[in-house]
Amino acid sequence: MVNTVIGSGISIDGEIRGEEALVIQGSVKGKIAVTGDLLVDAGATVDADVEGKSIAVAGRLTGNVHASDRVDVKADARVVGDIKSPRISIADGASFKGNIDMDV
Amino acid sequence: MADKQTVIGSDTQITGEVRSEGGLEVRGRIEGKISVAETLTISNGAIIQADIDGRVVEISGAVVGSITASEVVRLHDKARVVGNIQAPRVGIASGAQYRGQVEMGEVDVAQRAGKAAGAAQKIPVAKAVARAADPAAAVNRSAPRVASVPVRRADAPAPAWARKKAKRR
Repeated sequence: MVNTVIGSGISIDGEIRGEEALVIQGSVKGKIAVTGDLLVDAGATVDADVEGKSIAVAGRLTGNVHASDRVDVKADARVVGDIKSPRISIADGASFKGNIDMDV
Repeated sequence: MADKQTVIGSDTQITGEVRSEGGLEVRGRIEGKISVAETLTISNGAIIQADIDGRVVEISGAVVGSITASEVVRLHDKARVVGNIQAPRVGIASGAQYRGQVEMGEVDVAQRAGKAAGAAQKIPVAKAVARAADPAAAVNRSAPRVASVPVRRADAPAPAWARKKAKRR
């Protein structure tokens, strides 16, 4: 099955909804809600509240992050916003500002 | 980083504006506006409710909205399109379903820019907003013959569809 890839030359202003995996390399402003995995790749700029099952961030993300499974903030990521997920990892080198809620 | 081809998968829907400096393939749903610098492919199964602007536009899915291309628009077998098409070359394959007005001929850059600013010319709200934002278009309000083409070379004659629209008013 082909997943959705928002390439680096793409900018979206609005809402993305999906039932499959989503990879973002471009820029998205608005809202993202997927039921599958979400990857905000290195070089991507996301200015949106995001929702997904498993969310990995390697690019820049401004907005609240809500994952039903896990959130991984990679080493080069910059995240500003609140993260809510049962499992969260933030790699050494990542920049993060916001609240973390692991539902404990 | 290798740039993967952008694909909007079949189970994804986007509401809003999508702009691409490269190509774009849509298998899912988009509602709003699409502008693509290169080739836009709307695959079979895709549902698009948007005004489209691109260089090459290949359609095999369903589209409701006006389509402008600087090179070619092709409606393939299984395509279902409702809306006006403007491009130097337009191809409609046997089996494609289409309703709307086709305008073949050069789409000059100024006109494309005007169209982009004017968004959907058929939608009065969008038109009103664009006119309010664009002083050139505001001047055109007193000259209804060119009102549907907000930005155009002064020496160029108004395209037939623009004149027709003006008459209808």
